[in-house]
Amino acid sequence: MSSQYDLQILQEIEDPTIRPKLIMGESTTYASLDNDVIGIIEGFTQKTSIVWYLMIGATLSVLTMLGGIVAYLIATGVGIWGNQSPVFWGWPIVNFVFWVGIAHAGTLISAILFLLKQDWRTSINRFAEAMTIFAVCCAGLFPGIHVGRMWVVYWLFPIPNQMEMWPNFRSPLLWDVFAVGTYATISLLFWYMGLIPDLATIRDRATTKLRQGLYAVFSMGWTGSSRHWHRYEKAYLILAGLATPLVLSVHTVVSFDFAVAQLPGWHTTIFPPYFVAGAIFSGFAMVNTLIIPIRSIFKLQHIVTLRHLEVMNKVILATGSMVGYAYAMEFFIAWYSGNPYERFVFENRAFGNYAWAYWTMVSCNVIFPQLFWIKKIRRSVPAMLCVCILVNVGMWFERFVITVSSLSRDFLPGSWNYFKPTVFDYLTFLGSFGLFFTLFLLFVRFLPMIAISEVKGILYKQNHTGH
Amino acid sequence: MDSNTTQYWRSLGELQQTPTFQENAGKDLPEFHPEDFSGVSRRRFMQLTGASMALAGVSSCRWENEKILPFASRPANRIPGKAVHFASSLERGGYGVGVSVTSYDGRPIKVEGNKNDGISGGATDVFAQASILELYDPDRSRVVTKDGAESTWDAWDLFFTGAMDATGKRSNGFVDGLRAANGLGVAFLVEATSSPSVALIREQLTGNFKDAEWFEYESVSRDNEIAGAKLALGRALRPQYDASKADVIVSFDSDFFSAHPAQIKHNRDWATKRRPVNGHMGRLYEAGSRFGIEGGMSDHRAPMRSFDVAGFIALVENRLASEGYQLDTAATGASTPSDTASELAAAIAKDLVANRGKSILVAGPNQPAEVHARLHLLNNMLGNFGSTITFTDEPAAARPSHQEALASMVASAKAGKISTLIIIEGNEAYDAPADIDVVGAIDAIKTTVRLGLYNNETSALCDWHLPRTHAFEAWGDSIAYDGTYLISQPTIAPIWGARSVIELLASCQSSEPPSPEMILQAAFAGGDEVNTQDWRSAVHDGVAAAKALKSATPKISPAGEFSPSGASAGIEVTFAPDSKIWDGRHANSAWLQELPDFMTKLTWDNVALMNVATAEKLGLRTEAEAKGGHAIADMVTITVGGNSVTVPVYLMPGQAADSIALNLGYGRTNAGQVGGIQGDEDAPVVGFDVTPLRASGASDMVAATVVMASEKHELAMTQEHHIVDDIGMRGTEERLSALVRESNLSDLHEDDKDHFRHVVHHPPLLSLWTERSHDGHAWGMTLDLSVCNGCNACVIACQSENNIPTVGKSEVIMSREMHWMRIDRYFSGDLDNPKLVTQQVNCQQCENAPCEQVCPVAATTHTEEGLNDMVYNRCVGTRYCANNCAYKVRRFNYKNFHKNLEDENNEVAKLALNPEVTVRVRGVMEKCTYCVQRIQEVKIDAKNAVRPIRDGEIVPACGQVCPTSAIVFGDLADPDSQVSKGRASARAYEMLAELNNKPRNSYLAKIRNPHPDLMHAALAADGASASENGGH
Repeated sequence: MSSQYDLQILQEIEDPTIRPKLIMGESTTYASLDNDVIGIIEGFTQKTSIVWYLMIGATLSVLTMLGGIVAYLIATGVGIWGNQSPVFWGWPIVNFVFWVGIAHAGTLISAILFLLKQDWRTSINRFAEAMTIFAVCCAGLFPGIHVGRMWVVYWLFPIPNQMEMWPNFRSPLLWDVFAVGTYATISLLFWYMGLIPDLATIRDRATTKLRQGLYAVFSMGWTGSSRHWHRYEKAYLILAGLATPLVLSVHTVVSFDFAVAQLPGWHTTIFPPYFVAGAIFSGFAMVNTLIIPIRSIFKLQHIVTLRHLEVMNKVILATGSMVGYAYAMEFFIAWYSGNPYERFVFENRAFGNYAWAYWTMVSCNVIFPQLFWIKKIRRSVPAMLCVCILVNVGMWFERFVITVSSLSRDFLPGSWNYFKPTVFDYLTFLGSFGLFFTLFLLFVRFLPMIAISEVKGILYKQNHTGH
Repeated sequence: MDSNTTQYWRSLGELQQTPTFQENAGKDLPEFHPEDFSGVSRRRFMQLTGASMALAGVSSCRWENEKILPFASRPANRIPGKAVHFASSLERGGYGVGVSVTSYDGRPIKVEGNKNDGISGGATDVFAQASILELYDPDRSRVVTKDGAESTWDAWDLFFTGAMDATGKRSNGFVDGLRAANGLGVAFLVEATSSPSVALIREQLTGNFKDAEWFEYESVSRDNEIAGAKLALGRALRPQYDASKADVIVSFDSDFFSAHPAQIKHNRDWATKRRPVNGHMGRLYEAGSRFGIEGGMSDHRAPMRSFDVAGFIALVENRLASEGYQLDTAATGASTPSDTASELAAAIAKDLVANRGKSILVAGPNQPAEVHARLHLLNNMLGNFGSTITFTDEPAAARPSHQEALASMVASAKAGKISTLIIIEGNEAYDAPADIDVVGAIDAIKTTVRLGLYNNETSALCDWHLPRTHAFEAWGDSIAYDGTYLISQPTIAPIWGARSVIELLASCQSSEPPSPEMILQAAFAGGDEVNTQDWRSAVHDGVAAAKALKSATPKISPAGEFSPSGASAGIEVTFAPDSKIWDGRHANSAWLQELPDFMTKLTWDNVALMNVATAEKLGLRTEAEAKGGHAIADMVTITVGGNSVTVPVYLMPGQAADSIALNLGYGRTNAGQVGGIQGDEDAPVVGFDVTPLRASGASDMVAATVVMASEKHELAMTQEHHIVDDIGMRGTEERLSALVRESNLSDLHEDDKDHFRHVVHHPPLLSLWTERSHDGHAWGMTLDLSVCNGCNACVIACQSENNIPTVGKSEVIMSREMHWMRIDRYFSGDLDNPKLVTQQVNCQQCENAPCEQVCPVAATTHTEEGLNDMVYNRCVGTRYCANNCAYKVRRFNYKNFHKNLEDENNEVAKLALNPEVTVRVRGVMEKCTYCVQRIQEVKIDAKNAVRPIRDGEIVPACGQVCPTSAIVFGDLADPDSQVSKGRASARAYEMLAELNNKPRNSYLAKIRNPHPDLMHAALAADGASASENGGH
């Protein structure tokens, strides 16, 4: 996985006189960038296409299975999962929060880092935004199918109806509908707008009529005139400004699903910041997990360099530490509050019948990311891939621990129970990965993975300053 | 039920005068074809129910199918959609209990107790509650079978009574041959019955059936009691206990509050003594092997093998002697048990002396006759006869014991003396003791006929099986334990065209028998002219007060030797009827199978109950099964007299060491789709048949050898689905005193109104907004922990009233049972002799309901009257409400739990549904509504009559059946209502009030009354008692 560019960076980074370039390669020009990125779409080689077809074949099979399960679910009822009393929310909600969390990285990278003028974001923002959209798709699936009567799920939307009923605006679930809905909309717009100049480039290079036509439609008449650019950049800035609070709000609202409830283990004020940090944490880990193999398969190491990955790892380290702090603070507050139910939930989490899940979570989310303090590990591609995968596992477990372990032992011991997932829980979760990767592979095949126009800007800066 | 609103069928005569009736009277009953039932049109349904309605008042008038039409003009006293109540009765084991059947448009849908009956007093047990499901059980036998093949009543009539030719002359049938032979070679094997009409027919049968033999068999009997009474009182008398007059009750391995035929009355009476009044309440001691209702309610308990109970009685007697109370011949052989038991004996003796004439000593049916006899003598010595204990005649005095009867029937059959056997109900092929070869006997008999509700294991052996009417389908009568003469009228036409016991027996007696009602009347009149007025009022009331058993005066025999031999050491096994399915007769009731057992919380199974010490001795696991979440039980093989059964083990705190308790009634091989059919994959056999371990002559406590078996078995429990780990145990202990508050009588200050509310300290509960004001009614409930004995009647009553589905064993394992009312059961203190706390939990109807706030579609909202309503058709099923409910009273339809009703064969079961309550679809949440349909009904009545609603007029289903009146419902806005007074009483508290949910349910704290001498023991054993944590 380590390329010549990675080795070069490893050398340069130790030399204080050299500032490694964001975009590497002596021969990298605007044209070569176009070739490198759009070439993937245009010249789908025999070799890559076989791999791609195999992969999409696999993900489509998993997606089809998901379709089958959803059909069976609608025919039979949510009883096919392990949900029971008192664990009324099981894996579907865990998966929902997991995917929403992953969806955080994209907008953070594109909006907040854009506003903060972090140039390194350009190499990965398109990719991260795409991941965001697909993760939101997966997340959106779960609340829709986990309800008892999926066919009336539209009642959650404030649609005028013959019952003359509004939804209940006091319910955090309703806030969720708005928060996730807004987030999905803005993310999609943001992503699509960023795509327009690149789509136009593809259109301009296109050799077939079909490609020309399709990309012409989607590039919406972009000519690259300075007026276009002027407006584009204004709009981009406005959208970035709009999206920035959403990065914080969406997971804050998701955390309200739990924090507003009176259930011990859920009812805590630390949840909003804790959830946001956790979401960024998991989102960045997911970006790394995906981009590491992609950049090596499609030979993009000079654009997505080791330096990018390292910066990402630093963010993972920072947010991972925040999450660790939140875990510790939860325990402290549980003890300090003097609330016996609260205290019990946390004791039970760490040492009770879900201790295995809790310690999986702690080791994956708190202990392993601390390895990133060590330069060698932070800059080793295989090592960071391992840690990032573990972080994703850990973040799934975090949601599992919060949702299931709190519910399984609430106030009345007479109702306590132990949650056991069924085979459909596993398959539905697996199916959501089928959906995610199918969309992702389609993205890789038909859209530019790198924001070429933005990278060109960096390349310009890079070539016209310093050296 | 207030008698003013109870609409019994007051005017049978009036109904009989209606034109519709007169047109139809005297014609034949409609032939009922089950296939007509599937896809019934609304019209056909109205016909059927209309027919049954008319039939309800008239005896055996059977008329043409096509003539039955919906009423063109409404008969008097009949309002469509308005429930009517008919007095009826049910009988089990020869003891009747009066009930009142609620019927909608001719369709019985609910059973309540009959207030006129001395036993019921308006309350019922689980069996009565579940009888509605039995009535509509699709597995009830529908057709006559001959040699296992489907046949018809016509074929039976042709065979039995002969055919009638065109001239009206009857050819001879089988029965004519029997009569000609004076009934020689004919035997009747009947379940125990106290029916005066059956007795009358039997008397008449002595005419042309004088050589016929009559055997009565029940697998669960109280024969030891009868024999004990004979020993001590000169003749078999039936003791009648009045617990309301007792200050001390000592239960020696008894079933006084559980399986006793008068348990409802005992519970009701004793409840008056368990509510502290001016610092006074009754005290209950228990010594026995099983930790059951008696032990659970007791103030002091000594677990001991049933074998050792007699020795303990001798010990108590010795202690009494040292207090100066001695029988003529002193008991010897007192066992020398542990210090605690001997301290207990001393305290009991002291208490008995201090409360002479105000105590009851009672033993269970498993204990031998000598023990019962001795207790009679002790009761007499203590002056209890005439005050707490009176006597009536014992109707069963003359018959041999059930086991003797069955053994002699089998002996006769094997000797070839029986050629025709007529079996009425019962299931001897399943429940006969192992050494009585009923199967061989039936094989040896030429002609065997069985009349039964189900085509069961025994029917399968017989030549003919005849479907029997359900108690609600036919005329019947019985005698209650306390001697009340009960009459039941049919409330619906026989759904499957069955016949009653009376009809079958009468057809033996005569080819043209009188109608069952005539027979009933004749039995009622007892040879005199029938007084129509008396008869009518008896039918209306369900009770003939004047006909009750006479009270009797015992002639005390002198005390003889009483020297319990002190049964050998080793493991004993005790048998008892199951708290849910009795001896197996209710095995096909899904409600009862899924009802969590009072102590074990076990559904759909039976187990070997043993304590941890015994399990350790046998090498069984006492640690939790790996964290898999499911209760996988070890199994043991129990051997008695060469017969073995393998049963799963349940570790039961409080079960006596070296004593294993087994419940009867499980492992039925031909019970039905619910109870199991051997070899049918869709209907697996439920539980394990333990009858092979029972032997004739032996009592229901026997020595056994027990070894661990290699098999494992998965159990379905509604509490502790998983075995709780240490942290869970500790967490439970810590919070228990806050959830279930209790104290000792001596610590109760009746003027400190908030004593129990202060058990939990919390900051002042504020509100961000102005609270809702309740101008109208404010419904509320109090649940009394002191008198709840955990009998489960409320759970089934709620299920029946509110159309709550059953989910099956696998879904119970998944923790998806649907009961709206549940009884949480906790133990505290010592593992070997714990204390028991039960807590009824239904929706607390929080004023500040957490569920309402989080529902995104506003499917659960608040009414003006403070009810937390559930709008089923608005519910999307997010389940957020249930997550946010602190009491976890919400139940979710994870699947279509009513799916079985879609099966064409099960259509009839739909009739059991209460039309006043929505049947919930899959995917919606449901919960207790305080029986809102009953509230509405009374509100409408009151509004129509322009009067206020009286306190106590609205009774939810759970409160109505409760024998101890532990559940009181009413209007909190009315300061004089019973519920307001309860909420304002010294014992009241609200569970988890510190969450600021403002529940409308109040609990009344449990008060224990330990003997002052045993206080130290009580304290030591009760680490988590609220009396310590209560503070002030």
